[in-house]
Amino acid sequence: MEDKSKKYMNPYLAGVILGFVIMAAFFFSGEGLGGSGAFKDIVKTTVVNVAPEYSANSHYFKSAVESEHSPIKTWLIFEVLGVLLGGAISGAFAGRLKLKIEHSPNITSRTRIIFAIIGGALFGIGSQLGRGCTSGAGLSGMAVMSVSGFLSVAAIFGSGYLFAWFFRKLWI
Amino acid sequence: MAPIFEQSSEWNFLAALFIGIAFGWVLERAGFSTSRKLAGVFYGYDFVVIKVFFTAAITAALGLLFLNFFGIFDFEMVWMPTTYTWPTIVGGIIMGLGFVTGGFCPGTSVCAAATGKLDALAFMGGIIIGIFFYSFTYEPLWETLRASGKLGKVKIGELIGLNEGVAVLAFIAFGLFAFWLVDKIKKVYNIKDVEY
Amino acid sequence: MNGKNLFGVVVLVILGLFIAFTTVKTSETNEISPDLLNKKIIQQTRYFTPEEVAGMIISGDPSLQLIDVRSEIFYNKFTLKGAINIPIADFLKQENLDYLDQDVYKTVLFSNGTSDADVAWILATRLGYENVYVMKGGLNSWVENILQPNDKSVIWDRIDDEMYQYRRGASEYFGGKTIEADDGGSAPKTKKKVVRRKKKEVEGGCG
Repeated sequence: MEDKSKKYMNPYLAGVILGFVIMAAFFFSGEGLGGSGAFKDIVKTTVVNVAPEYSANSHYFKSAVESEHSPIKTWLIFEVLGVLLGGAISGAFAGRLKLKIEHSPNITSRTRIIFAIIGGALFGIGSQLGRGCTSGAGLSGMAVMSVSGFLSVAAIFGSGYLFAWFFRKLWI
Repeated sequence: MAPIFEQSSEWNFLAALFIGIAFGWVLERAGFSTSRKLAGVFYGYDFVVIKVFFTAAITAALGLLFLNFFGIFDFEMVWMPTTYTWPTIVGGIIMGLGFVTGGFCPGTSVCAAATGKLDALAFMGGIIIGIFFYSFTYEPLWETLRASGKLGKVKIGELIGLNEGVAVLAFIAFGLFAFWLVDKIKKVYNIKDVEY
Repeated sequence: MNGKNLFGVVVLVILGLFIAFTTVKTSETNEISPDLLNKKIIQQTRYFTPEEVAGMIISGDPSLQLIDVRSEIFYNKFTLKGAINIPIADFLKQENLDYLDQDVYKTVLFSNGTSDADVAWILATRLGYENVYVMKGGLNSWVENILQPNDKSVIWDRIDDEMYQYRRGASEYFGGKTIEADDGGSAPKTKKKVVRRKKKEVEGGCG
């Protein structure tokens, strides 16, 4: 019994549960799940508070300046805080809480960190341009059968498979 | 009638927190907190991403239609993305590249960071850098592209001329085929499991 | 395929077949609630002053979309540079709503005064459209402040000298009356390219 908890869940079962979580998000709040939106809010809030003059003239930050409520108090920020908590709780129960840099034995930790930052930056740019990331635009978009969701998933995975060969040394 | 909570009520933010906890819990349980498992989808040694991802989308799409059928859910009242063809495709390509280099997506990186993965923390830092870069180069580089190819709030069924329910049935068929295919691929090419 | 997976497949297919024969019920309204509308109405950030609009036109702001909600007759007589005409009577026609249904442009509505544009703003907001604004004071205020700023010079007492210079520059740009320099000697330097928005306090923020 002890050993079993350390293993990962059946992917289909996890998928069904995740599906119900998405439904709950739509049912209770009318929102889809997301990830990148919270990061965007953090950046916007920072820039708007640090450089109000600049942000008032920037098309990108303008929407944050105009809105009455504080951008930090958005739904997605709370949701992402929840993800942080939920991940930690589950990790603790499964005995998977451990500080480490995970990487393929073929590369060093340093390489892994550098590529993680590059990957994060690309995701930051792509999610802003594509109006959401894998979970926000893709998963939640598909849940309401939006064209946008399917297009986004096809583009992300298509591009992933396209470029996978070039970065195979990072993983296998 | 859904949605239950007012958009800016305190209850809604509390709901967000609990939904987030559930989201993080499932991601961690499914193994999405390790980048090597996630990246497996691109190299064929672990297709858990495809399985979880499509099962979740199918369950949610089907479930929401059932809620609608029972008259407690109205699609017009909830979030629905507006489709912009070109920015979605270009953004998706950039994100795909980010996926194979970084090994996470924003949601899973948060979850992984919560279990102590330092590479996930670096990835989150990267996202912030990326958004800063995007915001400061928004007007010269992205603004026109971001507004191009607008289709409106269109559903996949409307686009190809299918009833919503039939479209979901087609989605289910597609998903089941994909699940069968990925297992087959792994077997046929005899791809070894990778230790992580 | 083991038993558990087969069970899942069967359940999915049955549910899918069932749902395929149903139709989606919609209430056909995506209007925002009265409560939220009220909150939006009292926000002053939904207004742009004529100076701000002038600034955006002069600097060629690509994200600006001007909509004249007056009748066609007025529109043909005089309107703002680049404005499109959607008379308030035809406001809810689908082809006109397409101009509003986007999240990229800042749509600024204007009429002679503020009220017609306000009505249009409420309609648009009720329908859930974002980024819609009203030009405060309408064209009346535009004429007074941008095209003929000297008429008002006595009243506002030049307390806000910067604003005065700004309006003068804008007036010249839009072909209004040019005003003589009044402080003897130094010719007025018209600032054509000035895009100085009034410094707005940042609302909210995590203090």
